[in-house]
Amino acid sequence: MDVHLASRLVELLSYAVLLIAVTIVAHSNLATCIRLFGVQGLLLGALSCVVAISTGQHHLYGVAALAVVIKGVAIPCFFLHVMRRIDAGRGHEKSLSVHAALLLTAVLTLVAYHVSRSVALASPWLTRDVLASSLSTILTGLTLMITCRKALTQMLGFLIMEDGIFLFAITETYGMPLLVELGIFFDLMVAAGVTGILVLRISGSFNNIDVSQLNSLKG
Amino acid sequence: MDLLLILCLLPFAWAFVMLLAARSRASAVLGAAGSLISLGGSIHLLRRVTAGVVTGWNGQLVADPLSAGVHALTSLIFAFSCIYAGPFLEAEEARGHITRRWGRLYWSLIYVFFGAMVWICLANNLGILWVAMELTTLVTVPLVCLAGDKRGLEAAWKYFVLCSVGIAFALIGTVFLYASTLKVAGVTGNTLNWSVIVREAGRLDPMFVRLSFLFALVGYGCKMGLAPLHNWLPDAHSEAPTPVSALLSGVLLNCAGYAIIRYYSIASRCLGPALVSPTLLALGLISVTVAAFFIVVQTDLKRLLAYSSVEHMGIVAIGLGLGPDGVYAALFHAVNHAVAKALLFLAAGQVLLGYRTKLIARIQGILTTARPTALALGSGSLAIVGLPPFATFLSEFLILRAAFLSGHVGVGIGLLSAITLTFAGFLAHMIPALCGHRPREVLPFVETRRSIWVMGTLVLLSLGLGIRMPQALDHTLKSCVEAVIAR
Repeated sequence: MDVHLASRLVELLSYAVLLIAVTIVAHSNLATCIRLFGVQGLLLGALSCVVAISTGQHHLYGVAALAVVIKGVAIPCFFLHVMRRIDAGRGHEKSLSVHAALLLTAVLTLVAYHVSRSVALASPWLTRDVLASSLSTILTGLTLMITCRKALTQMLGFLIMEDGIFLFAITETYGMPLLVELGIFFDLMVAAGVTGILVLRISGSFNNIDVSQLNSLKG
Repeated sequence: MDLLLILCLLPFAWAFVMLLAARSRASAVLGAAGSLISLGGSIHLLRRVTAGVVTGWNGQLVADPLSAGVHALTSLIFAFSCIYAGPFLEAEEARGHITRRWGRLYWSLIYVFFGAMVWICLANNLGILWVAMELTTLVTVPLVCLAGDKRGLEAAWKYFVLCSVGIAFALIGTVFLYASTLKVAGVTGNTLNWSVIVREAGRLDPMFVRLSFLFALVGYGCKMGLAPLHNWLPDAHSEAPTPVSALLSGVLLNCAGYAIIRYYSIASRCLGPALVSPTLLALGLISVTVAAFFIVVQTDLKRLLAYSSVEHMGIVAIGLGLGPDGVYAALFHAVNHAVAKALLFLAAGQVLLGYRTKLIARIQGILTTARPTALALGSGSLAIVGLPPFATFLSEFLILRAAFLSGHVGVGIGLLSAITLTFAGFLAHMIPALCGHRPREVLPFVETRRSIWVMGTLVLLSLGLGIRMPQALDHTLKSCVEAVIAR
């Protein structure tokens, strides 16, 4: 593939990843958020494929396949299943208003762009914008975790953060070694499973999954 | 025979075996047996590393004195926890607190947990180390909410969320380190192996190593319970079942500390100690100060012990930041803390079975209700506050000495005042609990012979290390210091 074309493609895909993360912060319907997260996984798979084709890093094909299967399909399907079991579709119930959360995200994105100027890159053809998008995605995921009061959305924030780190690893190092990536994907699957178990038990004990009521342990 | 690979795979195989045990008595015997086999293997490994670094599985696994030492300590405390857990779980099952299915699951999860810690100690690849560290969080979350009440669920959720986020920062640190090694010419393949990185540390890009160290310190520091990232720790450690609390406090914190030491040895070789030490000293001082205040105002017995863990991890961090003498003392202190804290949690677990409350105000006069447990709890308390002749006194003294001799007078004074405050606060809670008037409604204690034996051995261990340190331990600690700090 032409290097210039590949570079533009990766850039576009990374923008899309960031855009999805920001949309999830703004959106109030949990089911849509989970589906959007799935799309983000698919985009990351496509992005790793593009990098693999243009650089000849063959292990990235494997990573791309894992991203599509686990992040794009398996985890979103499982989360949707859990969501239906506990009937928690509507309402983000943020501790911050959507406007404030979006403003915070915008500020953090600016910070990420500023920081990315001073960090060296893995290869000259990946532009700084890709690095900046990855850092912004990490920070957006963190914002979602902090501002959300629903257990499932909090974990969605963590997974978005992980997506950002995935993108960051690709721009910095063409992805981690395959063995490590395998381990990370394994951990993600277990984490999704543990989330499912905990969310079901929390909704069983507290009748909903609003984590702001988890406040009896202090001092 | 590949000793390291066997040590790494045995716990996972045992986790499967434990699923098959039908009766709780069989589980208890099998569980204790597996942990003793692992302990034997770890001691064998400890002997072999005195002759030189041991590698296995094509260099993916490696053991130097430091990893072998942490592994042996982990196996030792794990063995105590397993021997104690047998009668504990039988009692819980008999009372109907947990079902047989949960009992079986407990044993299986605890062995996966142990296996993950073994991988942390023996993995050469820092990426694998991260994966294992995250796995320890994931398997202990179900263990924390085993009892299934609301407080347990809350603790488990906070633990899960906060530690996952913390560990995510460590992953960013790992990526930075990987990026820095990829840039070095001539290093090919296995570029995340610490044995390779430590050798090449002088040629790495300093900016990347600095970022990598800071992110790893935040991430693994969260897991180690260093303030201000310690919020999850008192919840998780106090709500978990007793044998799990002992493991979380006694060894998992040390494993996180081990990860920080690996990054520390890379960063101090690349950047010199000037950047690396002050961050450790600062985090350590914040931890001991925060913990000291929370210990003074604490009302819950298990949370008191948990905050004491925050304090001691702070002391270890300070020691690590003080140069070779400090590192020696910090590693010794980590051993002493593990022994004393395991003892305290196991003794406190016995007390909770009798008193059925965690509120210190309602736990009075243990000495008159159960003498062996009270003696264990008392010696554990004296050990943890650092009274001679217990070993913690020796290691705390060595850290303070290192602080004053290396010119960190402010750090020394801060540490000394925090230790003094903790001493007063901790004993002010413990003395009435041990010697006060006992309330009427206390149940008769179930002091099994096995639990008394376990607690007694831990007391003797803590005393013995303080009275006369074995030559072998001294040698191991010295060679650990050489592995950590470049001469």
